[in-house]
Amino acid sequence: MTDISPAAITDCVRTVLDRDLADDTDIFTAGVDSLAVLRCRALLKERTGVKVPGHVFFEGRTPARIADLIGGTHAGR
Amino acid sequence: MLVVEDSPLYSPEFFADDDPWAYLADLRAHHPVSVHRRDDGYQFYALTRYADIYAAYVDHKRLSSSYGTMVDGSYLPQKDSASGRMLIVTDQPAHTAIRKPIKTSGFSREMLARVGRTVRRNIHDALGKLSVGDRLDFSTVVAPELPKGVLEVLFGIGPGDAHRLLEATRTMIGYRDEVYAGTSPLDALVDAQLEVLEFIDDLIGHRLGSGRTDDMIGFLAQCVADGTMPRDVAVLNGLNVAVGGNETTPHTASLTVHTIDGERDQWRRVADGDVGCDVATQEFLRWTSTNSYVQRLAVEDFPVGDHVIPAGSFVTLWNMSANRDPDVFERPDEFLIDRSDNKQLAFGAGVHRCVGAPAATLEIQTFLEELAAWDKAFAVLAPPRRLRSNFMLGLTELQVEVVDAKEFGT
Repeated sequence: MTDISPAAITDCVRTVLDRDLADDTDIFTAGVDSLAVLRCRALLKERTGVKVPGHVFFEGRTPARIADLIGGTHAGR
Repeated sequence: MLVVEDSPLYSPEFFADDDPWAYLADLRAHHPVSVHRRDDGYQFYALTRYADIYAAYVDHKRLSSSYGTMVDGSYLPQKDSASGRMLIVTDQPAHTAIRKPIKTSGFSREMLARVGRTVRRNIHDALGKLSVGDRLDFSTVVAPELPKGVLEVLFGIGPGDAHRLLEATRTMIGYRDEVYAGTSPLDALVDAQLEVLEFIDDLIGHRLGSGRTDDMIGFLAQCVADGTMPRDVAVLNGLNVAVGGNETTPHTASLTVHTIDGERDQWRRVADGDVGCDVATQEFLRWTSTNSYVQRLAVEDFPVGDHVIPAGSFVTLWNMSANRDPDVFERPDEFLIDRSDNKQLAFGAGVHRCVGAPAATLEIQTFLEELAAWDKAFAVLAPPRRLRSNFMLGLTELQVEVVDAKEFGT
């Protein structure tokens, strides 16, 4: 398992979008696009060392689900 | 007006395995404006006559590009998320503000001269490696050499990076074809798109550091540095140029080799110098029509002939059909290598006409010149595999054998 929590993802999205959101907010409804995913991913990599595949953001859509998917992916390895 | 339920124009399989040319010819002759529906409720109007398509291209005020230029590129009624920021999905006047720096930094006379030299070197080297008797898949071994040189010059990168970028853009555009995208097409599309964005963002980041401005990426980085262009806009347009350049001319080159194989007598006239490569290039562009259609959204009622397409409708402009219109081209369904006064619409028309058209034309003409000067030729071994796409007409496999030029065409 990795140590990427929903809060870590929420925090990155908050930084990139410059607006508040919760762990169960749909980040795409909140205004995330491909470039914002790129920036979030770079921040996450900087803070955790893990490079999250782009499709995980689009599949998860909320910080909580994205964290689940990342955990699941790594647990299965 | 003809309404087609469950229209084949949506189907990648129809374009790969059936005869879309004949289908469009029938529409053009009997139903120049028609409606095409899909079972999920999506619908578009299809224009198939040259004159109507040309008129639609130049009427950029009533026909917006902001809603995505390919079917499914965006979701009704939302604008494309890159609208207003990326050239292909931006309307006037913002469009000109983006197009001008791209045109002057990427496709100036000086840049085109550098592009031409690099493309010629790459093609020359690729052909030079081949011996009589070699068998290869032209579409994967030689065809990517055409845009590679353009990327090297415009982006200031080496052949290895250019190749990596090519693979990623290929997956983006061909994501519905399992050759490129495997079994999870949407995941592959998303990941490939992010890879391209990240690559270009890194390039711009490096240029902001180095200050080198002698190519397109350097110029865009300079625009970012002096505050005239947001970094996101620079990245999105780098992506636009990379995709537009990579995913077109390799297909044109593969279809060109396939066409030459079937028209060896006509090709001989080019090889012998009786027909100029510039003239032949125009006919190959017309004949292959790599980009089959583009989509617009009518933001006002749009009249075509006796019909009015209501505001809010998607409209598709079928380049491939315009290029076979008998009102414009004599013997339109014949490949005529010396066709004169060739008004092919392969690049569209008006303010959105392909910004890279001069580079693409140069690539194809340089390719023809190198082929004509080569002492060998490509003989097609098996029916090619066509790309599963209704948007790009291309080949994903073209098995050829290298033969002596003297034996080719006899």
